[in-house]
Amino acid sequence: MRSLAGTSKLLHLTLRRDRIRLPVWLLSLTLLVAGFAAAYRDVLKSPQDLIAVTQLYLTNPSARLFGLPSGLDLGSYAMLRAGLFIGIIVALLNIFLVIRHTRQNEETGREELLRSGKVGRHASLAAAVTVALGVNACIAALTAFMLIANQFDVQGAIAAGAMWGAVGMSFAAIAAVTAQLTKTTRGASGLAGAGLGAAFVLSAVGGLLGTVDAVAYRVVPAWPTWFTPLGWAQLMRPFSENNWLWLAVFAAFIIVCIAAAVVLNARRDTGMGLLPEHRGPDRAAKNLLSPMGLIWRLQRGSFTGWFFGVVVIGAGMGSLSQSVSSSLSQSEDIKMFVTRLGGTDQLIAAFLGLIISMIGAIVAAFTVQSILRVHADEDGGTAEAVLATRISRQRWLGSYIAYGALATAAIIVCLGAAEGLTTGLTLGNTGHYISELLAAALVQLPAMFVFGGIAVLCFGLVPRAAVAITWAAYALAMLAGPIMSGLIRVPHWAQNVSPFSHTPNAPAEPITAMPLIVLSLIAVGLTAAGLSFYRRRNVAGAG
Amino acid sequence: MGNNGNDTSGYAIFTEGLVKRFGKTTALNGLDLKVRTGHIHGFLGPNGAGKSTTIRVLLGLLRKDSGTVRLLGGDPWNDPVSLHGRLAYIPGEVNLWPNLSGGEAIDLIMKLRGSPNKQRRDELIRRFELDPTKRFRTYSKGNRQKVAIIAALASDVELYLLDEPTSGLDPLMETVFQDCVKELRGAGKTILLSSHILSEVEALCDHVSIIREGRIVESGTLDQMRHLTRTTVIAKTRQPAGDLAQLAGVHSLKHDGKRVEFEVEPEALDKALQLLTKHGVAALTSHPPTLEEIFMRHYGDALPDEPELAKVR
Repeated sequence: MRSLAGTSKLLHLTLRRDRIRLPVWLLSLTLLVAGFAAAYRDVLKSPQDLIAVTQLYLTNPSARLFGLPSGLDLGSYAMLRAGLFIGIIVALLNIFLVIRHTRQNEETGREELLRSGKVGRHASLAAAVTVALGVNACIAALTAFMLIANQFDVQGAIAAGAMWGAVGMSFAAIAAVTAQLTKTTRGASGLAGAGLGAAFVLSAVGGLLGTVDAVAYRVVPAWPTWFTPLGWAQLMRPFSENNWLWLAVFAAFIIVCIAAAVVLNARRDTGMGLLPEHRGPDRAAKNLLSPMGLIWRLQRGSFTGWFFGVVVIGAGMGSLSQSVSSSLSQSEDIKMFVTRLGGTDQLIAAFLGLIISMIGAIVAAFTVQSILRVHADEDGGTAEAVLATRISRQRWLGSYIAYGALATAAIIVCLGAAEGLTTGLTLGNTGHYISELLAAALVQLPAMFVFGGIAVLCFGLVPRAAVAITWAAYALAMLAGPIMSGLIRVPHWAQNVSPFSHTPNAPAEPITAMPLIVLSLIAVGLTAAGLSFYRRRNVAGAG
Repeated sequence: MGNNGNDTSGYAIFTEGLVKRFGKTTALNGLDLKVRTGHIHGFLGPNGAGKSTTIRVLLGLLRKDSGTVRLLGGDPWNDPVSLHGRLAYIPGEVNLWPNLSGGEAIDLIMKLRGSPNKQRRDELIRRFELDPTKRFRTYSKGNRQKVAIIAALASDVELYLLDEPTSGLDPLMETVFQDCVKELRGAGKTILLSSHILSEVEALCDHVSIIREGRIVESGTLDQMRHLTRTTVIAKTRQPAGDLAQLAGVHSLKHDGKRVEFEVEPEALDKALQLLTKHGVAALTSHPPTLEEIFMRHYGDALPDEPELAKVR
C-alpha cells in the first residue's frame, strides 16, 4: 500500500502536536460525565422522584428535543438528560480533531511539504482516523468507568460508553468526508457541523412526534430518528434495553463514510476541494471600511449562530414553564433541588431564572471568544496591517471590546424577551413576564462583562498566555458558580470568588443594585487596565 | 555617514544608537539609520539582520530599549496615529483577512490609512494584473504581495516603508513595481526599501545603508560604495593572464592556470577586458556581486570591533 506510506510517522506527529490538547479534552469530558452521574445519583433517590422528572418528557413533546424517556431507572434518566448532550460534545470534539489533522494541514501548506517526502496520498487521512479511533475508544472506556464508579448498572454503563464512542467515531468519519470537499478548514468544519445540526434536528423531530407508552414511561420515536447517528444512539437505550445491534449500524456507517473519504481523496488535487470557491466583490462596501465594520464582517457568522441558538432555546424553555411547575411540584426532593438552585419556592420563577442564568453563563463564552479574536489577529499578522494605519491601538482593541459588549447585550436582551414572550403566551400576562425576564436577563451582563475584562487584561499584559488564562478563569468560575456548585459541592469561599455567584436570582428574588455595581466596576477596571497595558507593549508580528 | 549632532530636520527617518532587545537576544544594537526627505533609500542586509525589526520600531509597533527614533519629525511610539496618516507600509510578511477579497482588503487598508484614491487603485490593479474578486486565502504568494503593494502605492503619502516588497513577484511584475517606484521618486516622495537583493537596490536607490547583526555597517550613495558596483568576472584564457594584478581597480584576483577570477570597478572594466582579450578569451562570465559575496569579503571579519570600512579601502 504505497498510498499509506509514512502513516505511522504522521501518527506520531499527530499525537505529538496534540499531546496536551487530547488529554485535556478527555479529562474534561470524563469529569463532566462524572459530575452528571454523581448529581443524578444523589438527587434522585426514590422511584417517586424518577416518576416526577420523567413525567415531563411524556406529557410535553418539546421536552423530548434533547432525549427520549426509556423507562424508570436512574441510568435511563441519566441518558435522557445527558446522553444526547454528551454525544454532541463528543461529536464536536471529533470533528475538530479530524479536520485539524487533514484539511487544516492542506490549507496551511504543511501537507504539501509532508507529501513531497516519502508520504503516501492517504497517510494523513489514515493517521487522523486512527487517532480518532483511539480517542473514541478512550472516551468509551473512561465514561463507562465513571458511570460504574458512580454505582450505575455495569452493562448499561458499558453500553453508554460504547454509544458515545460510536457517535464520536461516526462524526470523525463525517468530518473525514467534509475535509475532502472544501478548500478551507472553516468550510470543512462548518459542513461537518451542519451535518451534526441536521442529525440533531432529525432526532429531535423524531422524539417530538414519537408515541408515548405511559405505562412503561417510554417513548417510541418517529421515523426521522432512524436516520442519524444521534438517533441510533438514542435507540440503543443503554441501561433499559442495551440494544448492542445498533453498534453494527454505526460500524457500517463509519466504514461507508471512510471509504467515501478515501475515494474522494484519491481523485482530487492536493490542496484543492471538490466544491467551488466563491468569488468576492471587487470593491469593499462602505460599511466594511472601519474597525467596527471589519470586526462585524469577520464575526457576523459566529454572532448569528449564537443569537439564534440562544433565542430558540430561551423561547423553548419559556413554553415549558407550565408543565415544569405541574410535574416538578409532585416531588419534594426535586422541588428542593430546583428551588435551591433558583433561590425561591416559586417554582416557575425559579425555573425561568435558572434557565436565564445558565444561558447567561454560557453566553459569557461568546463574549470571551469575540474579544479574544483580537489575539488571533495579532498572531496572524493582520493586526499589523491595521496598526500601521491611522487606527490607534486603543481604538483597535476598543472596537473589539465595544463589539463584544454590544453583541453580548443584543443576545441577552433577545433571550429575555423571547423567554418572556413564550412564558406569557403559555401562562398569560405576557407584558408582565416580558418585563420581568428582560430585567432578569439584563442583570446577567455585569458578571459576563467581567470575563470580557479578564480577556482584555490578559491580552494587554500577557498576550501569549491570554487565551489559556482567560478560558481557565471562565471554566473555574463556571464550576464554582451557582449552576455547577450545587451539583458538585464547591467550598463556600470558592463560590464567592465566581462572578456568577453574585448575579441576583431574578425574577425569583428582588434585584439588588450593589453586586451589579461592583461587578460592573470590576469589569471596567480590568478593561481599562488591559487597554493601558496594551498601549505600552510590543505588538507581535507574523514574521 | 558624516551627520553629527541631533539636527533631525531634513530627515524623514532618523535613528541614532537605536537598541531593541527581545529577551536575551539583541535585535538592534545601536542602529544609526538616516534617510533624507525625498531620497529613495536602500536598506540592505541578509535575513535576520534586523530590517523588519527596524521598520516595526519606526512604525511604533515595537518599543525601543534605548536610542533616538524620529520619523517625519515625530516620535512614532508616542504619536503613531498622525504619523501613520502620512506613510504607507508593505509588511515583510503579508497576512490579510482570509475571507475578504483582494479588492476589499485594498479598500479597507487605504480607508483606514485615510487616503483613498480610487483612480490610482484601479490603475494599479490593472498594471499589476491582479484579480480583486478572489478571496485573500486563495491568492498565491505573489498575488498576496501585489495586494499589499497596491494598497501601499495607491496611497498618496510622504513616506513609503517597503519591507522586501518584491518577494514572490515574478520578474515581469518586478519591472512594474520598479516603474511605480520611479514615478514616486519623480513626485519627490521618500522611500525606505528594505531588501536582500543588491540588484534591486541598485536599480532603484540613490542611497544605501547596509545592516548586519543589528547595526549599520556602511551608509552612503552607491557611487561612494564602489565595492558594491564592482563586477565579478570569471574567464578562461588561452595564456595565463597574470598581468591583471597590476591593473588599478582590480580586486580579489584568483589565479588557477588559465582560469582567472576577479572583481573589477566600473572604470577599470574596459581596460581589464582589453587585457583579457590579449591573452585570448576562451570563455567569459560576469555578474554583479551577490550580497553574500559582499558580506563575506567586506564585512565578515571587520565586525564587531572595527565598525566599518576599515577593510574596504
